[in-house]
Amino acid sequence: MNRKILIILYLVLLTVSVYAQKVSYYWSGNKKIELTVDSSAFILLTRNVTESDALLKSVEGIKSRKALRSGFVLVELEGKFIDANRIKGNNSVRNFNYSFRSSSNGKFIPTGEILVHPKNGFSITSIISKSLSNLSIQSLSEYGDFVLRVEDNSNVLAVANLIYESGLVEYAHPNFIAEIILNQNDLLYPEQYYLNNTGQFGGTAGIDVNAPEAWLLSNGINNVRVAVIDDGVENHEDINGRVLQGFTPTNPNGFGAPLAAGNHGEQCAGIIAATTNNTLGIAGIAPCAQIIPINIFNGGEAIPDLVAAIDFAWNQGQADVLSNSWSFTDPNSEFDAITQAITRARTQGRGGLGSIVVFSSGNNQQNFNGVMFPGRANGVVTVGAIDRNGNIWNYSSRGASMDLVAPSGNVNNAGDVRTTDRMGANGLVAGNYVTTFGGTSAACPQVSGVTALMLSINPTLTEAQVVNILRNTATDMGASGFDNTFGTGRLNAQAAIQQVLPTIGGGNILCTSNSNYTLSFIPANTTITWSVSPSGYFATTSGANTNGTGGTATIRAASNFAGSATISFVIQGNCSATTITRTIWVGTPQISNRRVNGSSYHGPTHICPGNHWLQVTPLGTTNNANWTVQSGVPFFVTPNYLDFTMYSNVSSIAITANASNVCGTGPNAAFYLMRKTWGCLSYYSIAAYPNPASQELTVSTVSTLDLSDAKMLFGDDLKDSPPVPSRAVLIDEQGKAVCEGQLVGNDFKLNLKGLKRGLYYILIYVDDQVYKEQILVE
Amino acid sequence: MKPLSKKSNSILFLLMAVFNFSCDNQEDEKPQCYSGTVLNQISCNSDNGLAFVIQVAEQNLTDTIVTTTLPKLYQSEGVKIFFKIRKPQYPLFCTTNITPPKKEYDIYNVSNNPCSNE
Repeated sequence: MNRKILIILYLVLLTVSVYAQKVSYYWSGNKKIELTVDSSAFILLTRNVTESDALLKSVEGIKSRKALRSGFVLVELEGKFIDANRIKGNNSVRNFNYSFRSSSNGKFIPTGEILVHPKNGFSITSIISKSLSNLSIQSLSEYGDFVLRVEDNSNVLAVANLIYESGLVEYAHPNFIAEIILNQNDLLYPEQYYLNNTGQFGGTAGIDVNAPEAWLLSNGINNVRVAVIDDGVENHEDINGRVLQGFTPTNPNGFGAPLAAGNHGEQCAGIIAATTNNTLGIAGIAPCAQIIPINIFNGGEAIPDLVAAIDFAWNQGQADVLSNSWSFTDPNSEFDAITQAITRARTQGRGGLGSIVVFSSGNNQQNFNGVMFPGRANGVVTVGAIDRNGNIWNYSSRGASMDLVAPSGNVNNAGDVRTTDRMGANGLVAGNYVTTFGGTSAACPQVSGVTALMLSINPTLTEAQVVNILRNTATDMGASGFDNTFGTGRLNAQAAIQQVLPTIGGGNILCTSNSNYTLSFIPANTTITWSVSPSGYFATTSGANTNGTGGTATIRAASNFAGSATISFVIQGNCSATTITRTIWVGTPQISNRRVNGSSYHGPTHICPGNHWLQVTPLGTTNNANWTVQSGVPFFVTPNYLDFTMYSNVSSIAITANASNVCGTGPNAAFYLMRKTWGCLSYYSIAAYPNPASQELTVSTVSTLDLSDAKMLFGDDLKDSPPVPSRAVLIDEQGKAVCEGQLVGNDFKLNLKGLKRGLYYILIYVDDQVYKEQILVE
Repeated sequence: MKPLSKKSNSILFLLMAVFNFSCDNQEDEKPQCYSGTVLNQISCNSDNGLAFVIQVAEQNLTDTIVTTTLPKLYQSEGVKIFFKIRKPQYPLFCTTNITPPKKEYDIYNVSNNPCSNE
């Protein structure tokens, strides 16, 4: 069989059966990876944040929402989502899909893209035929990897599977935003609910500090120093040589090492600085952090010793962050000497930028009101503790000086925070890791860790800037805004890191002249390389290039390409590398998301006489589409929508849309619309509801026009009343009938009890036509 | 200002005397002898040293006390001691993975032998 026949056969199969495929899996490693629909979460893409905000205000029971890459919003709900059609039908929605879960309960969020690598000899245009014009090429790497976009994200699994099953590609699978939990290989990481709460141990998913989301942005660039002022820290297999020589105020030869009974500092240090992805132990928040151990529990430390500890940290120890999980026990204890040492750290540390001083709020709430000293000292970042469901712990001291909270366990060795223990016989338990850490002690180093991660990326921030970012990016909890219990809210590592990353300056649209794209800052002691993708969109003339070194990229568009492209700067520091990316548009705009009456436009389309609407989404411009309508056709334009009327005496209509930007006007996108000559439903529509459904599904036909209007449009085709469907049947993803509808009055009723949860299709037979709608059964 | 009368002076003196006595620490004035068992060291500290928990045998002190003045000789779990108590001289600070102790005292006259309340 030659290649041409093979492609034709594949395309026919693809066209005929794209919607009938089993979609709850994808192919990878030549095996099916099974997924289940998670209707308690959905992913949404609108044209801008304002639109998604407005849309989500009307959705009840939102538990959390996270901004993801590429403008997507992941929305998690208290219960199941019951009004998907209303969201999907909103004009501002560019993409919608449910989230999926793997067999191990990992979350898979489809982006509406498919990653494809054609086999040798097969071109991508062969695979994307005109009959599948709902696929567009997003990007092409220099290694021949394509990113395709599906116009309707709800089909992404089915389309990806059909492409893979064609045999024409090396691989084809959806692009997912998978939870980082699947990628962290530290053995105890799945139990570190404070970093990534998936509901383990009966907790509430999302009540965490967004650590994996932050690591998606950066693991740090340069080393950063954190003084752990505590009962000492010694090196550990999971901190990997990053415990430096420290200080013991009451023992010149102590160097911050713990005494026999000291384990608390070791536990704090692990939360801050444990190595990530080393198949060992836990994941620390800031793996570029170096620990300066300072032991203030050597025995007999007086106030001057505590002052000396703080001063050593910022001065000789050159600590960027001072982490303090300790407090005085008497609510009246307050010592100006300590407050002044803290002020010195905040103003003179880090060469005058100021070290950040973090303290736990104390565990005294059941005995006294108010944050314990030094947690309430001026300028300190004060951290309280919440449980894994987001409730403040009854012990967590609180008051007007609160700043943040972080998840933690109970106190008195009854906690559940996983962290490092001293190694071997020195440890509290066998195995080098403890599972019982808690109190505000375990909350404080989470803030210290995030602070260290911020400074590892951007060491030029002042103490005040860092503290403001921590406060302003916290996830609000309790009463709206600041309150004495939660402060400004739960620590949000992702939001904080987002604030400190370099940005790429330059225009949103690149034309065929040289333009500079420049990093907003370059961290000291780093090397920078940059590149663009797909490189074929760019020209390499007149000093422009597709890759280079340094903080400025000079690029220009190739004259014969237009599309979305990515510019990447890789910042390599003495600890790790961070990639900063920016998506820009290259060339003139393109028209995407062509829809006729809400359905994707795949080519010449037959429509009945009556009123219809077209929709497009211009890419690469903020301008609206320009429409050109065949003469004699009544129409009305609203931005990117066109309402028009097809009369019964018109056989076809051609309508085109294009858009302009600073580079010029893009190509026309045409709609070819032919009048149906038979079987028009005329003046009614079909509805299947509710969707999702759990108990019963109803199928109805509903009048949509006045009789006088209908007569003008349909003439002899007019029927007296909406026809009653002759049959309604539910089929599963394999096409097998699983439920037959029963006629009750003019409606069909389908009893869904006993059906497995999942995606189905309802087939509705009206006159000589069959209509199909996707139904989610829960 | 008009000088106070003799009667007023007397009343004022009596009030001050009552006030002074009510503020006095009777533990210092009439130190009682207690007995107890050393339980464990906890992660608290003061000028005096690291803190230990003592299980007190007598009924009039609830349950346990924490002290930073336990002499080294007795710093072993399970050791029975006799001692007297007074208000702590130095501020105590603790790591925040524990509930801070409610009863904190300096202990003195620590011995293996019963002491006298006289």
